[in-house]
Parts: sequence; C-alpha cells; structure tokens
Amino acid sequence: MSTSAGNGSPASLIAEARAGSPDALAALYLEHGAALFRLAYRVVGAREDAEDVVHDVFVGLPEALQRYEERGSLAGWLKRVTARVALMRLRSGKRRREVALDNTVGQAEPAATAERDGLQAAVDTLPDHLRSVLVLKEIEGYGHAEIAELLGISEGASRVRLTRALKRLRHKLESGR
Amino acid sequence: MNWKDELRKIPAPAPSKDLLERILASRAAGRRVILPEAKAATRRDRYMRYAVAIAAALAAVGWFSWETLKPTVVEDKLPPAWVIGGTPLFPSAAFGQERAPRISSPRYPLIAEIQPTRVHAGRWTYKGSTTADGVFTTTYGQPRTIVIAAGSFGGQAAWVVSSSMGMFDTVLVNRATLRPLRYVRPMLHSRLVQQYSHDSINELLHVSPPPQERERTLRGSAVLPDLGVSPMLVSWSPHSLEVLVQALPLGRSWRGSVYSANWVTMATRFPTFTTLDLRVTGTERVTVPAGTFDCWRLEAREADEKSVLWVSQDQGWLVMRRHTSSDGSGRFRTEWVNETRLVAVDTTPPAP
Repeated sequence: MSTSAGNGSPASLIAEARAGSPDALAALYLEHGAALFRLAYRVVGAREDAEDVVHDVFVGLPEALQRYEERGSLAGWLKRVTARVALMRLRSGKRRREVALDNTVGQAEPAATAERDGLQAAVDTLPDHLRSVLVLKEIEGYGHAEIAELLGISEGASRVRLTRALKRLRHKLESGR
Repeated sequence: MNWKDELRKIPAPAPSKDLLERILASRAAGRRVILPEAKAATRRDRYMRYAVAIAAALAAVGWFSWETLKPTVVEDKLPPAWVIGGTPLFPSAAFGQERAPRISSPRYPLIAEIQPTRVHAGRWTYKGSTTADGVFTTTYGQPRTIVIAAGSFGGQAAWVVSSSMGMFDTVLVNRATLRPLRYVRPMLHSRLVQQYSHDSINELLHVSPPPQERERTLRGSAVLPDLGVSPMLVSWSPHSLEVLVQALPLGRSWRGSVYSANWVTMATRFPTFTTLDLRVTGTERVTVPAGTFDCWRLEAREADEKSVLWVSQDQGWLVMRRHTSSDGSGRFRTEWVNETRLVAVDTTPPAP
C-alpha cells in the first residue's frame, strides 16, 4: 500500500491523520502496527482478539489524536491506548475465542525454544487479572503507578498481583521440570 | 534460566496482511470507535495530586473553621425558595451530611461503538398525548422541536442541540464522540452552566434574585463515571435520545447502556449520573404524522422506569416513544400511557 502522507515528519503525519487522511493512517499503521499488535496479543492472549483491538485502535485513531498533546513519544501514547483497549476487551468478555498462546506463536515462530514454550504455557495458565499485570510490568516495562491507572486498581494491588503471578509462574515452571 | 529475561523474548505472531485494508475499509464505511484516554501518570502528576489534595484539605479546614466561628443564621445557607418554583431540587441545610444517592450500574456494556456520521443537522418535531386507562386521551402541551445545528467549540466540531420548549437551553456536543462539552440553561431567575472535560463536570448555578434577595452562585463538580469512552447524555436537556439513537448501530439483539448527567447541585436528591439501558426487542412498522417507518423497537430502562422507543431503521430517527405508569396511589390503579410521536422532520441544516 502506498503512503504519500505528509512531508514525512512525525508532526505532519499526526496532523494529517488527525484530519482523517487514510494515507497518514496507513503510514502510522506501518510504523507502529506490529508493535501494538504484539502488545495486544500478549494482553488478550488470542490472535483474532488482538487484531480486533488493533483494528479498533486505528479506526478510532483520527478522533483520538485530537486529544494527543504531542508531549512524549507517539509510540508510548499509542501503546497506552492499545493497552487500555485490550484491557477493556478483557473486562467486557467480548473475546471471540480463546487460543493458547503457544499454538499461535508456534505457527509464527517454529524455532521457539523448549524453555520458552514452557514459559509460554505457564503464562497461558495465569488468570487474566494476573497475566495482564505480568505482561505490562515484565514485558512492556510499565511502572506500577501506570499499571494501576490502566487497570483502575491501586499501586499496592498491582504489586500484589505481580507477586502472585510470579509465584504461580515459578511454581508452574518448577513443577514442570 | 533467568526466566524473567526469557519472558521478554517470548515471540508473538505478526498481524494478518489484510488488517490495514480492513481498518481503512471500516473508516471509509463511516465506522468510528471512541478510544479511551491514555495520559501517562508521571511522577510529577502524582506529586501534583498530592499537593492538590493537601491544599484542598487545608482549605477545607480553614473554611470549616471560619464557617463555625462566624455569626450566621441557617436561613442564609438555604437556597432561595423561588428558584424554579421552590421545588425540592436544591441542596438542603444538611447538604454535607446527607448521603448522595448511589449511581446505578449499567445493565449492559457501555456503548462503545457509534456511527457519528449518521447524525445530521435538522429539526425534528414531536407531539405528545396521554391516555388514561385506555379510555381518555388528550394531547398535552405545545409540540417540541429538537434542533441540531453544526457549530464548533474550543476548536472541536460540535453539534449545537437545542429545543423549542421555551427554556432556550442548549447543549454543545462533540460530533465525534457525542459527549457533551457545555450545557447552558437559562431560567427565570437563574442560569445553569455545566462545563464538561474528559473526566469531570464543573457546574455553576448563578442566581439572579428578585429585588431584596441576595445574589449568589452555587458551584459543584463531579467526576464522570466512565473513562471518557462512551457517549453521554444530559438529563432534562435537548441532548437526549433523539440525538443518540441516530448514531447507534442498531441490529437484532443489540444492547448497550449510556450515562446521563444530572445537575451536580441536586446531588442529595438525585444521583448526579443515571444509567439508561437500551435493548432492541424487535422490529415494527409504525405510522405517525410524519409518515410510515420501518423501525427497530427498543426497550429503554432508567432506574425503575421503562419506555418503549421506535427508531427508524433507515435514518435512525426517533419516531415514537411510549411510557407507561400508574398514579402510584395503589387505590385507583389508573394507568397512564404517554406517547410522543414524530410529526414533522426538516433536514435542512439550520443557520449557524
């Protein structure tokens, strides 16, 4: 798909996307879509649901950019929006289907190591409220304050959930040896 | 194995190749999604919050000390009785000690997907009638016309929604999200202004009293109950279901809830926010003075009140609304049926 949006600068790209330009939207998708998909996938745990999340994020992006104040990186802002949409999907119970992470990843990454497979399987077994904290903290690198805000819980609750998630993971991995 | 490092290396698949095409096709088809706010919580923000909380606490202590020390009479604190007829809508003397009514939880998921481009400027005129016990029918009041005009507010494209009910109240509504931006309601001796931000309402009720009464201003604020992700209505205003239903992607088994904001200064009498639960229950062909329409039939619930709405499938217009109630006496059991019918539509955009 050709993208003839703007003069190439991020600011002009954002301005054109804000005005509803499909080319600018496509350019933003090509730049950020894959990373946002990975984040959504890790939160919702299923490929189709992750695609729905990314689809909704980009369909709503031109209007949402009206609220983007251009302080901080666009990539970080997009990730927070995506995380919120993915978490809303988890909460709403609107998920289309449950697919184990390892099945889908196996198709995409046949060379995944046995250790990673085991780790993935262990992550899969975590309930949503623990897995989302684990993904956001340990994989995406968010702080507890931000996770608390994203999930609508206290920082203390975020720490407790992470501890529980790690404890369950550790137990799962040790019992699997 | 350091499995925390391994966690970050867990691979994820790539999105489908046609995802971008699907996104662009959805946009081209007019589909819109309202995304949640994504402001990062910075350390500075947190310190600011602590500072604001401490300042507010100090101010409250100072105010409380002054209020308890200064000579005053209770009547000074009471809202003027002549504001909208002295109805019990205003905070009492024990405002701070009364428990505010709870906000009811939405019965269905909050409406997240709308088609805002389906909302059009124009005029929709409705006429009401009441039937008692299925026997006695009378029309009531003057016809009510909802006027939707294009405008802008704070650099955002807005709908200017007003009605012809003599109150001249006007709501400015964000065109993309159908959330209110500003609500102004002039009354005989007072004026209400609600200013909406993404997460709160600031309300100001300015009272311009008759001679020999003291002029005063009541202020109130409330945090919005959602994350800024859904449309929102304004109770007792023109920004009501007539506008919202135009943008709903109705279909069989569609359901969704929406918050409606009331007056913050009535918080001890009514919840600041009520939920309106909508559900499609079927289809029906309806004939009203404005014509015959193939409609979606919806059930609308607000607290214990139930209404039935008929919304035209093609245009999304609210064609008819029926509300059934009893006189509540438990003795006579009179059943009142209020019906509001669409009598005229003018889709010529009103002058700005």
